[in-house]
Amino acid sequence: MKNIITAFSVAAIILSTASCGKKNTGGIKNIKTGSGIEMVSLPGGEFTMGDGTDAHKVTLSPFYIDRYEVTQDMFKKIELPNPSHFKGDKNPVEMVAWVNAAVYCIERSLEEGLIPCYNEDTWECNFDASGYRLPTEAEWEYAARAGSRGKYFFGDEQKNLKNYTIYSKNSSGKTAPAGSRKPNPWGLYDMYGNVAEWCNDNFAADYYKSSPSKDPRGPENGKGRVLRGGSWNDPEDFFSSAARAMDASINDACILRDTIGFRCVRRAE
Amino acid sequence: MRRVYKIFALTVLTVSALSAGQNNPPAVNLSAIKYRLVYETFDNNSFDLCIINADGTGKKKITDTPSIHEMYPHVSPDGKKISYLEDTGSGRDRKRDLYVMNIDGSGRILVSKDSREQCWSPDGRFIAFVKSESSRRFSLESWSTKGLFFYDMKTGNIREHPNKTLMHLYALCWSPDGKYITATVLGGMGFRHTSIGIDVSGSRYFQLNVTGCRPEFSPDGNRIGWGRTDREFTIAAVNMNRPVPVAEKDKIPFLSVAKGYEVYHLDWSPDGKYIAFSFGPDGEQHVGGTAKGWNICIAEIATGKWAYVTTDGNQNKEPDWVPKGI
Repeated sequence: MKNIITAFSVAAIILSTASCGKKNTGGIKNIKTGSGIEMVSLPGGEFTMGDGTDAHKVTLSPFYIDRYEVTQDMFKKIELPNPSHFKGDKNPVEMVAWVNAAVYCIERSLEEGLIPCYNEDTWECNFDASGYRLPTEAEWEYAARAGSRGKYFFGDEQKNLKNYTIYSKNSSGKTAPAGSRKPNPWGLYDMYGNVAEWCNDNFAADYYKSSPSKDPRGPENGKGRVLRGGSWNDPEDFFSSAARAMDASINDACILRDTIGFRCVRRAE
Repeated sequence: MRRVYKIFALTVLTVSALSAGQNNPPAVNLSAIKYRLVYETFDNNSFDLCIINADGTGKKKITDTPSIHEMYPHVSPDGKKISYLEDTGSGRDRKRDLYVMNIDGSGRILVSKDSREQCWSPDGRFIAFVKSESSRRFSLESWSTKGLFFYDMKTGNIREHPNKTLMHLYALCWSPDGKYITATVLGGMGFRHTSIGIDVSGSRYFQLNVTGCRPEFSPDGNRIGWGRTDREFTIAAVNMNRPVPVAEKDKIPFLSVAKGYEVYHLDWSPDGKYIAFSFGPDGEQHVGGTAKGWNICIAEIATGKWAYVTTDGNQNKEPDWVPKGI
């Protein structure tokens, strides 16, 4: 498996300079969706999720993931209300409740003739549907690590964070246009910083102790949903591929935050 | 139960922490309150409107429509009319329209399609409202609105506010002097999330210095109450003619609830002595949201004591006082 991860890393380095649509070795390739949104197709595989005593092996099925955080322009294109505090078409959408991120997934799915994953009455996710959804926590970490095993996808040197991340030291107190810093080895931008990203999973601090090793999808219940990646407002010590967070602003307008956005995934065909 | 004591306008208030399922006898004597309330309740698979005496007696349904949701009732200043929202359809194809009817539920008149978050002018001549923002699909989000509009009860005409940049407003409230409308704004006009005052006749808007949402004027216009979070109300003196209408020093925590419960939809009684509000376990406070176990309660401003008006927990929300006494 170590060899596979290494192969991913090599392929990803190639990918980061590849033109859109060009196939890469290792099964990673850039694709464009029916509505022209850039995604990256990731092969399934095994990786080590978490760090320290939380570290555990997880195997994932292949999936597609947005190359960039969902921008305000993407919201506008499907005529959804843009709640963002820091307005800018290229900036990531923020002030998004988890439910509204799921609504975006539904509308984007319908726009492309796909079957929505979310039930609007229960917000349960049908992982077998062809449409877009929020990533599981495991998918998010797998994508963020991009085959790496250290604290960051670029190694263990915190001083390099500024090259890849919009965070408190370089954000000027607001979001930046999506993709303003370097991507990770698999070509994904802003996996750290800019806006923290909603995951599909309910949050439980001890979930790793009982989570399945194949395609974990989070605990059945939780007071909030998982957030990953940190935001423009977080200090450098916050960031790592394994750092977990949660937020309860699932559908409450009174506690929406301008630090939270999301990106979409869908199952690979 | 924990109590916090604060001074407000030289009166000692009791700030009560509510918890669900309490069987304490009413701490406030509701039978002394000679007003009625209208509110929304979930029954027969849809929201309907009810009218009830403040002491919980005399409950009567104003609407009873299994396939239509009637919600967000606001009684006219003369107590004869109710403006309310009517939702039809489901899911992304749901529609929300603004209606007005007589207090007994008769004589429904469509005011405006795709509209919400309305309030009455103090003279009862106009209904202010906002329109739904997206034409693509329905949104339950209170803030998903654009513009500010006025319906003239006399002529039936609708005109837009002079400031055409207003957006993402919700929880409108018209000041008793008629000069201002307050609203909460989310992600609009450069604001993250705040409450603002808007000149009714001009294009100016300004922040109230209120953190939280849904400000409501007291009947004399000298005080304002709002939800600082979804678990606590704050009350303060307000002067809309000051650069900062609500001063920090005047903000008084009035009522708070334990984690796991929420209070919303504060509304002042016509005599200014009480507030009615919605209370229940964590749920969805927005119009049309699911709020199982929620009830209508009344708290006394002078003492902070409170009592349940309803006890059935049928998603009872959005209380609004009938201005004329019984």
